[in-house]
Amino acid sequence: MIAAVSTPLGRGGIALVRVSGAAALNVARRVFTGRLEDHRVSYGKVIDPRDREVIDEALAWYMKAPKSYTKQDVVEISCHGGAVAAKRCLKALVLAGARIAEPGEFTRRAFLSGRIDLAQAEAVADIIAAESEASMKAAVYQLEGLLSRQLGKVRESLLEVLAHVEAVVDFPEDEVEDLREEDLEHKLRETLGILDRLLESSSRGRILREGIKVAIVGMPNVGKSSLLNAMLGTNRAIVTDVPGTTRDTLEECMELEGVPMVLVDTAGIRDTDDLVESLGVQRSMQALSTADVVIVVVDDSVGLTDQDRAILSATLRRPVIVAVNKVDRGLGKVSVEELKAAYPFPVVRISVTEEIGLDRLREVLLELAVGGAGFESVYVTNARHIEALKVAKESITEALEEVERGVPLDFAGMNVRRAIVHLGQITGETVDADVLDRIFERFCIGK
Amino acid sequence: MGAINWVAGEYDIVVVGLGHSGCEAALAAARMGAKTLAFSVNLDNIAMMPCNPSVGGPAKAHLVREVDALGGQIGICTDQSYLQMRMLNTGKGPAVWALRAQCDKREYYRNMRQVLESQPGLDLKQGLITEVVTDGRSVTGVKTATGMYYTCRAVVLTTGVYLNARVIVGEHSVASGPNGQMPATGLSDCLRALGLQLGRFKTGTPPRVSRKSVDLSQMEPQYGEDTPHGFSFIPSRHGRPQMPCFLTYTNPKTHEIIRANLHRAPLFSGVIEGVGPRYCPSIEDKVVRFAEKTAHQVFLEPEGRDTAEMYVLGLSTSLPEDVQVEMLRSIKGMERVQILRPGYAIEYDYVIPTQMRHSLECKTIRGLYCAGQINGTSGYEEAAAQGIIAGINAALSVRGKEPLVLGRDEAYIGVLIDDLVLKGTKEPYRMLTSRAEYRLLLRQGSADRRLTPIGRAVGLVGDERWSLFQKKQERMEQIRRALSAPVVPGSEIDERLEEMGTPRVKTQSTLLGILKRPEVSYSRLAVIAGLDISDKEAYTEVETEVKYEGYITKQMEEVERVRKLEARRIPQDLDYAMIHGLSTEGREKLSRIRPETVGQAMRISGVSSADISVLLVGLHRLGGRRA
Repeated sequence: MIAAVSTPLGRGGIALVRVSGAAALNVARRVFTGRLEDHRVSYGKVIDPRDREVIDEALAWYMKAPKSYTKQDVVEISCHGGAVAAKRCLKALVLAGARIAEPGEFTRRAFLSGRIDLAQAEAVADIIAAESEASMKAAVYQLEGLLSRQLGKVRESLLEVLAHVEAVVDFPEDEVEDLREEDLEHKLRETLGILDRLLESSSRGRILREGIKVAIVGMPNVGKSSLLNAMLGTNRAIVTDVPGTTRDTLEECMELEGVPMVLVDTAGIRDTDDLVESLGVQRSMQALSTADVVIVVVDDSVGLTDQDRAILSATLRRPVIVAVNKVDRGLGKVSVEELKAAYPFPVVRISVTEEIGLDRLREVLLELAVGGAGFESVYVTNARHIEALKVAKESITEALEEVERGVPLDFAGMNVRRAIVHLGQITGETVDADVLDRIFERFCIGK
Repeated sequence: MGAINWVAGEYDIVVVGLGHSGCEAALAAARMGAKTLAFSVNLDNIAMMPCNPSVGGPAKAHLVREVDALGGQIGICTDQSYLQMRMLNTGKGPAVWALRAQCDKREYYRNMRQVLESQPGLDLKQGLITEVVTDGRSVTGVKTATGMYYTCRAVVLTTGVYLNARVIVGEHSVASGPNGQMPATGLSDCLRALGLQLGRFKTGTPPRVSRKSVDLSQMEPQYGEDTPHGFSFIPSRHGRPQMPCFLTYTNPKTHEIIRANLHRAPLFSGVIEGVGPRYCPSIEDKVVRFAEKTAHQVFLEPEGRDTAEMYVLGLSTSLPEDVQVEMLRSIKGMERVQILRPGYAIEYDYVIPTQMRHSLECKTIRGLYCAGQINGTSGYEEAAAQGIIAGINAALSVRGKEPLVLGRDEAYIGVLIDDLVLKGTKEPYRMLTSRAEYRLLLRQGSADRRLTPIGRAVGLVGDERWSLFQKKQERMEQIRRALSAPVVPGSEIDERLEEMGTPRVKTQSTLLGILKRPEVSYSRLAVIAGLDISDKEAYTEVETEVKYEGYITKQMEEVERVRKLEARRIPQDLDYAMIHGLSTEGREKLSRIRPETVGQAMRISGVSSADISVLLVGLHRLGGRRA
């Protein structure tokens, strides 16, 4: 018997407290005064089972096994939001005989009961860990089986190829038409395309989960700190506790159109008298090495310095935006044309103090960070899935090479099989029976 | 009932049935020193080929080579009675090259019978076994229909398609074994009484026709290979003359005749209840399922050197005999054909194979082994493969030794048995290369190196085979050594490389390095480098190892990865009811099949990956409690 508050504590107008297990109904009846009927919502009071003191007013419903998330008996109590009410309700349930669920335990039960598959279970875990609206969406889409559907397409196409290869090998004297190499190549390339797109999404997927690391670099007094504050402004992240990132005073979190970002503030390095300017450059370099996107701030009232050029040259290999700050002063010492000719970076003219060009900067930042793509596509966010996709991609690439080199087709077949096996590790499907079914469906075989 | 206790003989092992499975089981047991008695319902028809007069083909050839490598007989007998020999799939990778032989059926029988009769420690008898006698837990003997009782410590059931067999030709249906043989009645009831669960399968065979009545000149002849390969690692080739097969086709008229008579086809009218194999459909099935095809291949194959009888491959059918005649006569070259024996379907009982252990011993009855078609398989080769394993394990158990179980990475035999006992089968099971996940390791050329040492260890491989094996291994080692010779730029060998259409070396290399090039073959390299070409099997194996080293290594790594799960043992007394969270189906399957390892559990159909996670958690907790 496990119980937990299933909505984030202290946020939102209502909180959902859930009990799951064989005795869920009995436990719930001791703390909820309303009638609990299968799949019916009822109104009642949440009481302390010891002294029947009323804790809250609530709605509750009972889901009889196996028609519940965990396939066990489940009761959900929807009480008033706010940490206190939800926690007292949970405590009441514990007093009535439940124990507090471990993190993810409901999902684990759902998985173990066969209610959801592995990919879905992992998606739920991602939802729990979701720190922002966009990553939540990615996880939800995965849960809804979008990833499984995409993989289903790939698998279908690969099974087709494999069945043909195997039919030719296993029934050499039957009338199985030989697999044409160009058909095989075409199919494999098509598959490779889908795998590539899924993998490409994975880098975005990681970004969605961990946040995009944006480093703001530049020489002292170009306006890094004020840019940081301006960017944070209304966009400051609701949740500041980002898992997987080492938080120190130099990092701040924010959300841009639902995309989580971690601003790495090299402005936090105070330029004190004993710090020579070269050291400032060095620090900036360090921040650069771990960033997903870099904003290099230069001063329009000063012009490009050698140090600015050193920073720009050091960042050649990652996405960079050059923010030309202090354009409000009208000195125009930095030539946008010159910058664009020398470096392949987008340039945005801004003024932090006068709030000029900041929206444009956000736009460019978003574009660089997530490729401007909408969030309606599939994002592969799970490390295990990414690994499986990589092996599948590698296998298909090898198969293609083999076909090109004229290696006998059964070798390509082995690689195709390997790809299917690894994709199956995401969705939990195996290959053997499916290939045979396909062979006998498609080819007229037999004595 | 007076003769019930009349003990007619005392044996270690009794083999019931002398088809391809029974022959291997009986020979293996006797050769390992067990006092063995083998029964056939008709001693004139042992090692009979009631269907195709052919041995081998993809995966099946692999099985034959493996049985041979272990010390079995099917390979030798095939080499001594073939009418035609061909290597199939030569355009594909070495893993799927497959030898196929057309056999002289009577010659095969005579050869096998001679071997059985001259085998010390093996007695043959004609008789119908109707009862396996047990003391409740272990086998104690068998009883014949005529009331003879033989005591024994192990029984190997190799009853083929004879159990409660029924033959169907159109509207005609009769209790009969294949080819007019007596069916085995009585034994099915006995097995049920022993608590075994039986299923019912169906298979079929095409009509046989007289060579005199067909015009073979209208058909396309197919000849064997010029220098025939052999199945056995013991060479016994003495340049046998070969006979061709003949190819013709069905046509729209043939299909029309079939369609017009479907209402008389037992397959469609509901007369046949058993499940038939998908890879061996009847012609009526093919015409219905692949309606868009206007022609199907038909091969006429000789059944023997001294008979006019020919097998019509491709036309397996249970249509009424008059329809068979009409259908055949619509085919080119067969306009005046005379049928010698009509095609028929046969239904028979089999024992659900998930009731067997990997040793092929029944889980619930000690000393009772099942092998061959009784386990739901199809094919002479699949039968022989199980037969030799059941024979070996019966003999080992009599000696009180651990059974021999071959892994999926060791042999096709291992794949076959693992599939049968863990997954069962929904149709007569045929071996296919696509069932083997490590098929590059299971090449027919490497069967001896994989299995002959095992055959030697259990006492089945005699001195002759063992010495041949060792010599081949030595030759392969010599070839490998010779291949390590350097190739220096500008040397005589280097200068001749271009003759083979391959560039000269830039820096010092070795012959091995040259052989790895796709365009270079060992036989051509041998000419310029003076390498040994006296043993084709030996150098072909080395060549394969060299050329496909990368692939082979990769598969070996995969084997290692899986072996960890294979090594994770599940206690045999595990109470699955105590493991919370298993799906109902998973729990039921696991309790029934009782896998020995987590690896095995994963291969059971109906056991989901979630079940495996639950099981692993359960085993972990269990381990913790026990520790």
